[in-house]
Amino acid sequence: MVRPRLLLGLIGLACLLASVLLARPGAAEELVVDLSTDTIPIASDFSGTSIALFGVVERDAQTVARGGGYEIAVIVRGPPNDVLVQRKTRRFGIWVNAEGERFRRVPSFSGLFTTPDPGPQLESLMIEADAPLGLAAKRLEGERALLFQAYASKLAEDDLYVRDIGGVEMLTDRFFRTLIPLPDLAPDGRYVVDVLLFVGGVLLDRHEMSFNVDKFGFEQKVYAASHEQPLLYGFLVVTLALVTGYVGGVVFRRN
Amino acid sequence: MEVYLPIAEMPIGVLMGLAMGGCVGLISGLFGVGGGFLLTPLLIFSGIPPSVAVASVTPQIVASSTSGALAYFRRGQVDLKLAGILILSGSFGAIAGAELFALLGSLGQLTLVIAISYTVFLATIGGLTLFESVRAMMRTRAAERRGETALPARNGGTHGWIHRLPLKVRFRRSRLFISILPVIGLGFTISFLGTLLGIGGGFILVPALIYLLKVPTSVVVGTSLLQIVGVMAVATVMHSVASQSVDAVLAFILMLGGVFGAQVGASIGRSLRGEQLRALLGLLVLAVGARFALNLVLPPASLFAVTVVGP
Repeated sequence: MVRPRLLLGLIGLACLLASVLLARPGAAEELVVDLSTDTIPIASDFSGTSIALFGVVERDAQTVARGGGYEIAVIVRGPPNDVLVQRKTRRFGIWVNAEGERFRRVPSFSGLFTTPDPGPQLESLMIEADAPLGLAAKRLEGERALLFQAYASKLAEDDLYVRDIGGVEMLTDRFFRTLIPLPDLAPDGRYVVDVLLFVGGVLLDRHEMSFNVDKFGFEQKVYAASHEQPLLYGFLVVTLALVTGYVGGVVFRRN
Repeated sequence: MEVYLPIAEMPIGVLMGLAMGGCVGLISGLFGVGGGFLLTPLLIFSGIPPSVAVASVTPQIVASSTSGALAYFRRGQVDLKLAGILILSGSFGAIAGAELFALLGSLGQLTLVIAISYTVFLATIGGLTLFESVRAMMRTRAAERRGETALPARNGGTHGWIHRLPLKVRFRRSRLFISILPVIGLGFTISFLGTLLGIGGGFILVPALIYLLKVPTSVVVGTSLLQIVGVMAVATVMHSVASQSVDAVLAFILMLGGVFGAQVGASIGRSLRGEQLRALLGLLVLAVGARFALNLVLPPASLFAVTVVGP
């Protein structure tokens, strides 16, 4: 698994260097970023992988020299889900689910990777990484915050919630790299990657891109059929059951 | 060897799946029951989401009842008219059950309802079975001590009110002339419960047909099996449509194990005595019920429940 990933990384790097060389002049400081792949296939033996992100902070001749280094943050958000989180409480001696809170379009994978010293914007980055896809980020309070925390720890159990301060590595003072780990339970769909560039707490540039995690092969066909053609799928399962039962009966009667 | 379950979205050991299907098949062959009421809990306890467990055992029940239903049908031991009415009314029960199932899932209360229903249901059935079989054993022993042969237990009360209901229909094969209302009621209720809990319901249907409707024992098992095949087939389609939680891969693994286990169980079962078998079954059912009860009472591992309700 390591060698193809390395190869992909090198290809990504080559593309990146080419784009740096061809990049247009003008803006003060600009992010040029690329991923090692834009599609991750999930087959039945999928046991997790990681995707490499390479980037360069590009600047032109007029750019003023900065005292401090660059701070980079990478936010990765998996395909959104509507979830219901309930606190279990004891009523009449048994454990039941309380009413709970619903969260709309929350990421099913949430990753935040930053340079080792992300500075004062870290907290707002944390909130943004948790934010529902397509909706504005806001701080949660009270019970709602607590229940969201429970959802996050549920994701973290399956390595779907990653907070990696120092996960973005500066290879030179302008060139950076990070590895986004995707566990075996990574849901399929479109992942949005947001790269942000700060200097001294000031946002200079941001760049958004995406990659896809796709199930393929037999599992994908079964899953797609069950969701896109549920009626047909139901009839097929019934047919399978009737045939299996019939054949089983015939086989064993002969013995 | 592991295989990835596309709907449950988790891997499962193929051998474990086959073994579970096989064990339950063995028990069902041994005791002459469908086994859904054991297979569904087994899957839940092994970490399969309850919604997928219930919905995927449903087609497994179809498979395990098919060969039996066919065998009885060939011997002419099926009342087709009675089975037809039971299936028709049962289809409505299955639709209602699958809708309630999907609704409870979106409210995040499905796991709790399944756990409570199973506790109550298994405790009642297990307790009754155990009590009945122990009494029968004691009666046999007492009769032997007196040097007589044991008399078979008398049927329950005559339930005259059931036979006074209107809309009477003739069931030629069962030699019955009874109201259609209790037949419809029975078909609906058992299918509703069966769809909600992932059980065939033969366990309740057979005694109900014998004691309530006075269906002759010669046709009761075949009719009940045909009813289970029909209703569980409808329930499979309804679960597929309403909650999309039928896992075809899981169902197929369970079917393979179940079909094989049932044959082995049936051949072992012939060498054991009825009352002892039933006492054993009662104990088994009580044990599963107790496990559900414990889960309800003991503090859970996680104090929060997370349910994905939509994409």
